[in-house]
Amino acid sequence: MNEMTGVFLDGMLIENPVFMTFLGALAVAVLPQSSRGAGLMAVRIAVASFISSLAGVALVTAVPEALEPLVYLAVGLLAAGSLLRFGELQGEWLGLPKILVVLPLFIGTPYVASLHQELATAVAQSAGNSLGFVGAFVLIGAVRESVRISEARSEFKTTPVVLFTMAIFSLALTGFLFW
Amino acid sequence: MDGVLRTEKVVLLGLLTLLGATTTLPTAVAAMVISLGAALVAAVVGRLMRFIPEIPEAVRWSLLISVGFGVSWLLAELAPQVLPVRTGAMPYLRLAGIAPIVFLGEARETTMREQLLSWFVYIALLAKMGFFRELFGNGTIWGNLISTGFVIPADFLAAPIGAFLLLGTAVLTTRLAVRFIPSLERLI
Repeated sequence: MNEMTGVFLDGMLIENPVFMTFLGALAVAVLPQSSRGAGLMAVRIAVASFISSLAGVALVTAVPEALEPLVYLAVGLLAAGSLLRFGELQGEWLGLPKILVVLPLFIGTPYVASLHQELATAVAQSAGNSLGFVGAFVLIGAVRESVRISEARSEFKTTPVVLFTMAIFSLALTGFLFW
Repeated sequence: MDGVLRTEKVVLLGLLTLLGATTTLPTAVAAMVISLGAALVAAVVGRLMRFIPEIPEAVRWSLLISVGFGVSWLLAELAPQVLPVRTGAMPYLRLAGIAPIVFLGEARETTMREQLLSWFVYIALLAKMGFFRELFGNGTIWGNLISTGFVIPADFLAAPIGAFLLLGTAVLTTRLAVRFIPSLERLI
């Protein structure tokens, strides 16, 4: 396995933005309602996240260190604004704009990707993160859908089951730490 | 999401984003202080913006998010000077200001009492997560080894799986508690 493949797989598995680094955990816990409906939304969010990562990594190298937070903030807000522009994540959630649930992902992913010294590895990391996010989003959507129609007591449905599922997936991904 | 318990709301609004900052109690305390600081400044800026007529929602929220993020980034830089914060937790501390709970003061139809209770639950949960993950994951309390010689090898509690398990348990316990004692719903 060459270095790029390793970084890509690390970004998808060991540094999965949902199960391992938590950056996309909120989005995945709140947004997907079913596996079928989740796919397209996941791809849109992942593409926006990937582009914001690339833009963030490229811009961070061109600005002084003190201005780096502004770059992450700007690319994160632009990615969120683009999603809104395309009609995604409109409306409110618990009285707040729904777009807030993806901000940790949009601002955090460029920050994490920029920790890589080279642009090529940062691209591989971002691509891995985006693919890992899509997988997690669809999986949790499927879990929520099957739990909703199950005969389990209402106390066990939705949030607890989503969190325990995330725990199991993070345990599974921990196994890749030693490859 | 109507009818969701306060604990569940707090878990989703605040804790899920900050799970990486709950590996030890000092780090959790730092996250607590940083998010409180960001929330206070964002609330003040939010109140001031109400005096500006016809400010577009997009601009208002961009400003609020920028303020929250700026405050949390600055406070996170100071945190290691005051508390024994783990290096791995720094990204989460820097991002604490964009957790939705920071903007609870701007949420629609949320009373001051509801906000205060939510913050109380948030602080309690954050402290509990930090304490238990440090104690059972590392065998330490505030960075000090437990002197009884009782070493707890449950490393997984300091790992992401432990964070999700503890959080899921907290939500489930609250739901079950409310099921058996319905009057608790007003508090938790």
